[in-house]
Amino acid sequence: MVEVISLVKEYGTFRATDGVSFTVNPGEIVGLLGPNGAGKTTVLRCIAGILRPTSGVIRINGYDLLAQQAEAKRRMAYVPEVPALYELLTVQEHLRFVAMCYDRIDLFQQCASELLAKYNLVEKQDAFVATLSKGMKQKLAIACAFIHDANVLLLDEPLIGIDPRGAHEFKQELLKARDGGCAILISTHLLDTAERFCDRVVILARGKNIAEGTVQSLRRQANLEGATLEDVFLLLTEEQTDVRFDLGDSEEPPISKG
Amino acid sequence: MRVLWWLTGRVLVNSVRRALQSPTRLIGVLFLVAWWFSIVGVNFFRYERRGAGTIEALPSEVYPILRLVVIGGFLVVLVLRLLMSFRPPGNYQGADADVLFSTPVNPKAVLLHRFVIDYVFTLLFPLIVLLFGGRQTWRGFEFLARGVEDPALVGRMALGAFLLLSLFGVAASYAIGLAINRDTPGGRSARRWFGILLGAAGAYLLGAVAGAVRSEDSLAAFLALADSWFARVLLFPVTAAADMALGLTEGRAADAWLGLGVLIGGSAALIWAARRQAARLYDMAARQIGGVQARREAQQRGDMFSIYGLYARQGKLKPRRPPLIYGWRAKGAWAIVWREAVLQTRAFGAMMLMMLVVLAFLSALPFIAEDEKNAGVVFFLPVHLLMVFSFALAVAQGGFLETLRRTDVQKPLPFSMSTLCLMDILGKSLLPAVMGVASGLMLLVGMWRTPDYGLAALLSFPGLACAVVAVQLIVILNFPHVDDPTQRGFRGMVQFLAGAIAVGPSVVVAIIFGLLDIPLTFAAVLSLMFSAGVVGVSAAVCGPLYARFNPAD
Repeated sequence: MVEVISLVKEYGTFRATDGVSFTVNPGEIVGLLGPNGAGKTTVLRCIAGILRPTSGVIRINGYDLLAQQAEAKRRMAYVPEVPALYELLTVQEHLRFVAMCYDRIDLFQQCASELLAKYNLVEKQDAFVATLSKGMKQKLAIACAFIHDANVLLLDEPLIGIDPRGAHEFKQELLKARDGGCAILISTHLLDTAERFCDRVVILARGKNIAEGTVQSLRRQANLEGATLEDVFLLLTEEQTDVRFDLGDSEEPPISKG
Repeated sequence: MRVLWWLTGRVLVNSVRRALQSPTRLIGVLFLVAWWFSIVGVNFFRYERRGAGTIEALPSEVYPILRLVVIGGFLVVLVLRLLMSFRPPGNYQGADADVLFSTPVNPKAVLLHRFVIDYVFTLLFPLIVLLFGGRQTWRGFEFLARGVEDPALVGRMALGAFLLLSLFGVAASYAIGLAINRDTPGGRSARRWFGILLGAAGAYLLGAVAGAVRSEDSLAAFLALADSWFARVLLFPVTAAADMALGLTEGRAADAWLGLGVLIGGSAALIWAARRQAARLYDMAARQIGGVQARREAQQRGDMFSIYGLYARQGKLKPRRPPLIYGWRAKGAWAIVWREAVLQTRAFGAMMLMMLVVLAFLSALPFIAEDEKNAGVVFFLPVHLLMVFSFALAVAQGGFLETLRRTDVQKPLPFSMSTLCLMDILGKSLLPAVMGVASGLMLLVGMWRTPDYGLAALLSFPGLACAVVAVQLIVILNFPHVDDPTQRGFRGMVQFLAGAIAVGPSVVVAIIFGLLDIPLTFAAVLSLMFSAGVVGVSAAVCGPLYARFNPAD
């Protein structure tokens, strides 16, 4: 489970996220949507423990990320948008390294060959990461996320650059992980994928979350019954100012955006 | 911690494996090893052949001199490390942020691991010197330590002091770096104050050194400085290390042990302080990594525009609007020259100013040295030409990469491809030509007794700069794959060669005219005509090449 409470991250005087709050429950896929520069990657990097929040609280599986960092990260995996990997490790060594970081070298023996086969990396297993194509690197980063039995997955645009087969395998893997109780937070610009794939979405704009809920509830709240998520997204991000839609699956009346 | 050492080991082993797998890399490694042995190894064997020789005893004043030398050396070690505090410690890469930082590996372990590596690297240089040139180094030390009762003891203690001072320096750079690189108001203020403190200390020291040099008894003044409150208080690690190195032989055993204690205690305290701040490490390293990575890649490509783009995104580059350029209402294809004037001034203006300052200093040397006969002309003319040449090369390399990148914007413009290329060449030549003019004027003033040289430079340098720029476009259009490392390396070599060919005939003509005692101004006129020809031919050749160029290939 991921809990983000009033997350603020400033770069110098620039406020990249401004009081973002949301939750990702076990067995749930939450889409993090927003226009470019909305703060999605910053939110994910803060949750992954890479960036230190200026203020706010992040809890992973109940552990406070700042106070109990190791415990919080133990069952979490992060896939960056353009993964920078250790180029001078071989593919297999890279997986091994990640397994060792999580003290799960026992799982490495068991899972590595399965993951390598699943993501078409078998032939490349002894090749240096430096020699992989962009898509292959992305696949390796994804394989690394599944090597240690994580129950929180943080994915930043994970489908960019992957071939259709790889993307399909990955989606199946995510659905399996969700059904196994994994909490998945996925940042994406692919709204149709988000619509079909995510249980809930959080929409960010200018560092604030302006809407949160299921696609159905967002449609209802935006008075756009039958519309696509794209229509809802465009409306909300166009009119995003100070209004925050905080929606669940409830039958609340639409919030006027005057 | 084990996993981090495993990673380090694998990366090291794999680097060697990778170097041995590729013939081009293997040649590079062999070249490096050969170069290293030719510089350092040969000295070692030369010493063996010469034999030990005899060393005469020195008078007893050697102790204070030795102390000054040791303090000076240690001061350099400490200052270099302290300057490293201005960037986040550890020199992490993108993979560390994307892979390692999100794992449960303890940040304190990550910090300590990199601390050890940094410390070992700090020691690497002197250790290699000791390994390859140990005997010679020792001979040099023996020379310095003539008259000292037990040079071996001084040597051992100096080495120990160096190891501990390095440890202190690395620990200080980590503890201070983690405190002053925080992205908080407190961090920014601490950084500013630390900079002011270092700057003030440096200014005081330089002033004191200058005073000592100018004083009648310089040695006494330097010794007083080494024993002053400034050295004892602000430079306490340096004095502690010097006491440790020399205390036992100078009969100040207590000082030596005190120095040892100060260095060990200080290092321990600083390591503790760094470990206390380990939780801040990932944030500052991750913030720095993106920029550093992008800058490094752009530097590898020789892509100055990307670097300046990065600076612009970071707010370090302000959009200045030079009135001279903004006042020019360019028409038609000349708009490309106008665009380049704006872009080149922003991207390369500062570099040009810095180079001009150096050239101005060089040109002023005849005045300073009261060189009545202008004998320095033989030296200054080629140096000026080399600077103009280097600047033109840098501008063209970076500028034409930008041309390739902006093909989709430039090609649809309503001009023929040759016109586009000509205007692009002229635009990119603008700043190098200005530098050529400035350089020529400086030479004219600096070498007032031989105006022929200055006039020749003034006439020929702008043209030569344009010619150097023009031929670069031919090279870049023939090797347009910016990210291909093989092509990049080869292109760099060919670019230099092409530049040399563009300048070569003019230089040859100038030498011949010089030998025949014909005024160089005539050679400059010929050079100007030749350069104009090079520009025209280059534009004509580049037109079809540019028409065929497809960025998607």
